[in-house]
Amino acid sequence: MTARSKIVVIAVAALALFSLRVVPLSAQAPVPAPSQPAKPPITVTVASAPDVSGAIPRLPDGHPNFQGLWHNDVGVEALRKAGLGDIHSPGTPLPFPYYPETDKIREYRDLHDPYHDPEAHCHVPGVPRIIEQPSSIMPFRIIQDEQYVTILFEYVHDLRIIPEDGSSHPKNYWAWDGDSRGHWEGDTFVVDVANFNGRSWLDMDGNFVDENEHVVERFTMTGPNSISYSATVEDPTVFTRPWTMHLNLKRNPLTDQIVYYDCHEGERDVDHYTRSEGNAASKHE
Amino acid sequence: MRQVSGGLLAIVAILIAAPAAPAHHSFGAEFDFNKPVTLHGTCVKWEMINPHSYLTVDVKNDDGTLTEWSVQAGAPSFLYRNGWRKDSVKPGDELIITGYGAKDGSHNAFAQRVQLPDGRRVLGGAIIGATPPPPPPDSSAPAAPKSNP
Repeated sequence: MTARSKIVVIAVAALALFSLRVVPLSAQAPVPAPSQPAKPPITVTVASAPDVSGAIPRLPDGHPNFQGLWHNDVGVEALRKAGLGDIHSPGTPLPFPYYPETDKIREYRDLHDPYHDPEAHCHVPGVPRIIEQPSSIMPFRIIQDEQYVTILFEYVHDLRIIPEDGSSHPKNYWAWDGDSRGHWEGDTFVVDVANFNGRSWLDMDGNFVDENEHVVERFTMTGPNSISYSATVEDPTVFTRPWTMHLNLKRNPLTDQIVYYDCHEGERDVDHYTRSEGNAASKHE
Repeated sequence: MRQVSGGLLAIVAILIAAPAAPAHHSFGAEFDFNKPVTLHGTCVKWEMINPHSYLTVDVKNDDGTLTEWSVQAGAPSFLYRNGWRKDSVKPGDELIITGYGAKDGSHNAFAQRVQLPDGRRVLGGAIIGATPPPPPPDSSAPAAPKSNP
């Protein structure tokens, strides 16, 4: 992506109404031990204020009832400031704590190789990207009982079946979305995600993780139509220390349903990427 | 060719709706915000397919010849939530499409807004991060989905 096109996008993004803060994590939820304890973790908030009106619905077992159709309220401006999305401006500091070597990889991918974003080739996005980027316009349905929280995503038929028993991750297994194991901490559903295949990008700007990615997600219902979501990401071979992304999930209208989405059916996009975007087969520079 | 481009148009288009970032690929890698286009054309084919729908339109050039444009619109799920149906457009319909041209110089474009023959202007592409807007206020617009499609 050229710098000029991104500048135009940034100008557009100024019309968005979402807020963002990048603040030290002194008052936030516990996170995994940082690899460099002298530096505090980083928090990226890509959300407006949560809706706290009304009572939280509950299942017969007493846990909050997350069931329903949800999307996130991430906005273009928030994504831009967070350094996520398709909208990062070169020269703008990123909040993500890359090592110098891994930041060079990110920068190269951002400026010269968006063609190889796995999502452009219809792979599932991984975690937490599946909650963040496509789910802003394509909702997901949560189905829940006393044993499992299941998330059905409209986007590329992605699916996460999360046991609630806090069981261990399997050995010698990896996947694009990793392996998710959940447990309850009061009213918060905490999901530990590991066993990633290490091929996922975090967005369309080249932010990435490898097979050492480990994510702790926290789902906290703040009202009948609002869930506060956070994902703490650590990857000791990519980032110098963990970072946490916060966003809010909002309930879709009750009349809305998941609508069929398929990435392969009529895909014609990546062929139009130019050589400067990483498409070596393109006739256009 | 009845094609208009320029900064003023870009500003107007921006005020209508924030530029889109399609769901599965980079907008900036395929299209160019510096190439705003307005296409007055005749629909040749309407494909409401995933991951993006396509309008094929014939645009008349100044010399009377025709250029066929392939215009990308949003995924059927996005379009459905915004009132589009597979019979919303048919071959022969005169359309006015505002959007952005492809970086590779081909006659491809991304549709931000589409003006239908009855005058309704409807969103063409997905807007990342935004709650799906309500269907167009025009009473002739298809009703919002009430059940599983």
